[in-house]
Amino acid sequence: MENYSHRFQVNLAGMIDILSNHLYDEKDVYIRELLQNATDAIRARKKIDPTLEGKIHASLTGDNNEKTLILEDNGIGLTEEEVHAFLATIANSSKGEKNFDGESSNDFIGRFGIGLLSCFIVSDEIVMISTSKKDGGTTEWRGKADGTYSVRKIETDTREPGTQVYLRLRAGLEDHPECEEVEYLINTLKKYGSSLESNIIVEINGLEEEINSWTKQFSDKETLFKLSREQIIQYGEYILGTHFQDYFLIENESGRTFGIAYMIPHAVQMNAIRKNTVFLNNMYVTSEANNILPDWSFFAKCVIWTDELQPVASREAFYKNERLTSVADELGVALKKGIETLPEEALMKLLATHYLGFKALASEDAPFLKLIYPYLPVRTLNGEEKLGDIIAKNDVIYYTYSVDDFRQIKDIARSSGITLINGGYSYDSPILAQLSYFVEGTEFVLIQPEEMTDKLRPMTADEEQAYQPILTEMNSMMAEFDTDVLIKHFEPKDLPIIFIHSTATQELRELERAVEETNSVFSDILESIQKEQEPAPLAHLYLNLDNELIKRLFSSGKSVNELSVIVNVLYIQALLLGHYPLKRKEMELMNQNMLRILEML
Amino acid sequence: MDYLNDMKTVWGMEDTPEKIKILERIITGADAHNDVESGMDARDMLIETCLDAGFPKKQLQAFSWLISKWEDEDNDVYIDSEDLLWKYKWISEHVPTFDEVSKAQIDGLLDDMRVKFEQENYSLRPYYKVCTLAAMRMGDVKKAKELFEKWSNTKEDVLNDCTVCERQDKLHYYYFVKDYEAAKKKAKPIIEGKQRCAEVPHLTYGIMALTYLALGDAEMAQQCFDKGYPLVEQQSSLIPPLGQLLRYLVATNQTEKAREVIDTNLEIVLQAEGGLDRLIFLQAAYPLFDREKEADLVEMTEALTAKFDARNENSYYQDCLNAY
Repeated sequence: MENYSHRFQVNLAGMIDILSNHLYDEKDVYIRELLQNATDAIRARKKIDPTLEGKIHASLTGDNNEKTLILEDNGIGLTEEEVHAFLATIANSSKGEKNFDGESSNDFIGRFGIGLLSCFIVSDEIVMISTSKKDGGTTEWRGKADGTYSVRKIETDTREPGTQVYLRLRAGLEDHPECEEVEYLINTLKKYGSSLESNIIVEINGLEEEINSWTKQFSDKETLFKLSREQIIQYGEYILGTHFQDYFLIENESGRTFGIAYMIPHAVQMNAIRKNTVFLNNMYVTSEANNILPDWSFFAKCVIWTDELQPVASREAFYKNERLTSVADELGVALKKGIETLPEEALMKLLATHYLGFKALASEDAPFLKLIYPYLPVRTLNGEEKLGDIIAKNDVIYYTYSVDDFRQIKDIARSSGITLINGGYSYDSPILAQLSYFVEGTEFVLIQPEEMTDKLRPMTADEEQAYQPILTEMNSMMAEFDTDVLIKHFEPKDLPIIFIHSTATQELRELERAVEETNSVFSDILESIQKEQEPAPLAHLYLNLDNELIKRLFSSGKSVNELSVIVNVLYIQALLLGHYPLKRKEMELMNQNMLRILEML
Repeated sequence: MDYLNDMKTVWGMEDTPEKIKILERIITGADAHNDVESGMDARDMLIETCLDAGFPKKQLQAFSWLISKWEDEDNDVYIDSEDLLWKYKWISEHVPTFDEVSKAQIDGLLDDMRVKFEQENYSLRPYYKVCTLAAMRMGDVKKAKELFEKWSNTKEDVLNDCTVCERQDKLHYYYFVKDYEAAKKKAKPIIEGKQRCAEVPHLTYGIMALTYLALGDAEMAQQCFDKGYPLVEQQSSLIPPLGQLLRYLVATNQTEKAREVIDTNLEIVLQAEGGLDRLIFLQAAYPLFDREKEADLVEMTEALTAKFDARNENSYYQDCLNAY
């Protein structure tokens, strides 16, 4: 039996500090490193012994303050030379760090070293006993947190190949529940190892429990794509803690990145941080990946398996490099395809839940819009309707720029039988404008309220002769309200007035209100801006001569002054019905006219 | 009530013109229902949204309502003074970019800002900073130098801009007074990628492309263009750096690329609410305008130049145009 005593060629205390306090975000990451070492060893052994069933066994033994965590694998094991080699590579571990590819064979020892050192996070002494498949020899390595280690050969003939790691757990590990109770240890092992292909067995009160036998099947692409809906829904609940109802499977061009996109069943903020769960070479990396899918994937929560991305040093996230960008783009294509293949009912549900986000995306992404536009809900004269249904029934569809425009013209539009969409809701008018370019057979026309007034019929020559002088006089009184009064005939007859004005006129009204409602410093500035602006067109108050009230009004023989009281009231009523806040002089007009009506009674 | 539903919708939206459209609808609805609290929330959001999406006039309009409510002792809706004064800096910064606003009105507004900062016991450092920026925008080198001293020598407090914005504004000042070495030194952490914030380095590369060019460092100047242009392309709220990058292209005879930049961005520039934003871009493009086919743009550039110089009572912008 040979015995060596050596010192590490690196500042071990400094390295442990880095490992435990700086490199990793997660405190339990040493469990991942142990699992990774075991997995690498089993994968290496499988290359020479393909029928091997990989096993990783974990247990927590001992009483309070004297606990030992043991992790054992039936992998290829290490020869004494390899034990020395891995220790030597600790000082030069960057080579291995940059390649997390467990399938590439020869460099796993480099990572083994750094991984094992991370166990000093919870232990002051690590014992590793390894039996090599290559030479059948068994080697013991004891490492201490003070920087010393020893290596010795153990003479044994019957030991199976594999490695056991014993961590004598330090006292006072309150931040490490996985070192205190086996239930927590199981949770940690499940977190990191749920997708690993080797069986992970944990000993609980003398009984053995396999903890990843059900979950590991999801990481195999071929198996995953054959699994039942129930299984996949159940897996979503297991791994993400949410009961999802809909999902689809996605993969990128190379097929080396694939996964499950679960549809989030409730509305989410579009700018909320995306969180996706990612496994690299079947090892859990993060549940908070925010750059492996495009920004617009707000509606899905994904579980992804990959073997083609490069992890950062802590292996808890990925380097933002060209590969990551192209994988994210390709998964984006897959997501869109997934949406396309969703059953209609599921798609409708998805759109209803995330309609705002989908509309925002569609307004900027023509291919996506092409995909979903038939299912988008819009508001029309009949209430909410699906765009696809409206398009199927119409060659020409009119839409307004704003809710205000829609409100102004909806009555005339209804009576003239045109199909009108309220384009004022978020993203609707940009979407409708784009549809003109690719929906064949249907024309989308943006209509301004003024354009609808050609549906109003003029007065007859006799009416013109009778009412024009009154109108002219009345309009000179209305001039200070930037509005003119016109008399027309129109449907529906029960509508006495229509108030029409342009967006520019409305903007000017708002500016005038701002001038009225602020202090002198700001009103002075706003007034200067207002003066320099192009004058806005007049608003129009159309009076319907087919309406009983208007007809009686103009045939009542009242004087212009008396008539104007009523017309002014109608004007104020139009503003209130249109939900326009009144300007100061309009408020005065309303009060004056109320008094005059009182006097007239 | 529709406007309350709209309020729920805007929370999830990015800062785009689409969001502004809905916020304006909410404001009208809230005012029509005399719902001061919703009117205030919507205006508050509008002011912030305009910072990212452009539209400084809409921002000013919303702020003018908010500040009068803040001043109104009978108003029982709570308005956070610190937040309001923080936003006042944005307003004061933008007001000199409107050609419709006179010099006296700008001074009046800056004075109002000073009084309010003093009344609330905040440091005047942000006030001196916006005054410096106003003097720069108004082409007054002497005044900018005096104010810069006051800005630099006044103590910071919570209303001070972030260190990165502060650095950005200082390097802009150094560029303005043609102290290119100082600008380069100031910009170093930003250019090296060590410092950034929401608006930096977006605002930095344009100035630095011209600074490096002035210092004869062609390679760095080009790098600034290459990195800076994708950040500001077709961004309504970032037209000045876009104009500076265009000026760099024209000054280095990269005519084809310059024309491409003009064609890609002209629409958003012409729609810009701030006349100075339009002027900075138009002046940069001026040498490339076809005197016949683009006579309207030539005329617009010259008219705006004259208008700003008349307002500022100097010939700064005409000199900028002549210096090409």
